[in-house]
Amino acid sequence: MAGKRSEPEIPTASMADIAFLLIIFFLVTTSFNQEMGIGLTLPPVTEGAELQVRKKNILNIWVNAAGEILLGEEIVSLQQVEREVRRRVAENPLLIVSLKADRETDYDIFVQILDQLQKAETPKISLAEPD
Amino acid sequence: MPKISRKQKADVGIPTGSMGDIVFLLLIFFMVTTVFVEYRGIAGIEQPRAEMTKRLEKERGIVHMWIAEDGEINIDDMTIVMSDIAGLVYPKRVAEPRLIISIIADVGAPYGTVADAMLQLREADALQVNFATLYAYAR
Repeated sequence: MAGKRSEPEIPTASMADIAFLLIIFFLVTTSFNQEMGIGLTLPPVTEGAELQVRKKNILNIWVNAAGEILLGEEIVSLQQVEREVRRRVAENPLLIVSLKADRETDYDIFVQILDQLQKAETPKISLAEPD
Repeated sequence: MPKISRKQKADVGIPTGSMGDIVFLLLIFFMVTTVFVEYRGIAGIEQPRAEMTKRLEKERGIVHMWIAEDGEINIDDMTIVMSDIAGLVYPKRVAEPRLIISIIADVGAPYGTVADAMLQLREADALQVNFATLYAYAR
């Protein structure tokens, strides 16, 4: 009677089905990198150490609560910011753009100007603290 | 002319033996790349649009900070007052040195609130920030 012995086996026919089910689950729950935005590195807090920068190397951009933009000495529209900054950076590569917005300025306007500065490939952007 | 007999027919079936392996490979890919949504933030925030919007290179090690139109601040699903931000973010920054703070603020949020929050982040030494925006196309 020692002739045939049935080999014990785990049925694997439905393995693919199980795996497909899991795949569908992960397909549905996967959300690929959705994080988007404009990156910026803030300066560290350095107490008492104020950096001295020559006045001619600073371009001030002021924004008031109404969203009006004063670039240097002239009032410009949002669309003009990129060209104006690009021109000034080309003239003086050491230029630091200092952006100072009013406390009541809409965040949207701040981002729009930041977007313009990024488009103009501004080498250094400084965010001045509002009063 | 001799007749050519065509008795042998080629088997046209697609081999399914390795199906399981392929499926498991795909499964492992999706398991590894899946990042579950952990935080929901404040509902109804309208993000600004910017042309220079870029994708963040990493998915993990990001702290989300929501700022609503009325100035309400929420970090990783916790509503928080302005002065507590540094205290909350600093331990996260210590645990993950390459931490990125993603500021998701409403278009109508006052800039003063965002600026104060950035000052708090600087105090917590969390200097990598990301202003969350959506893609905008050239106007």
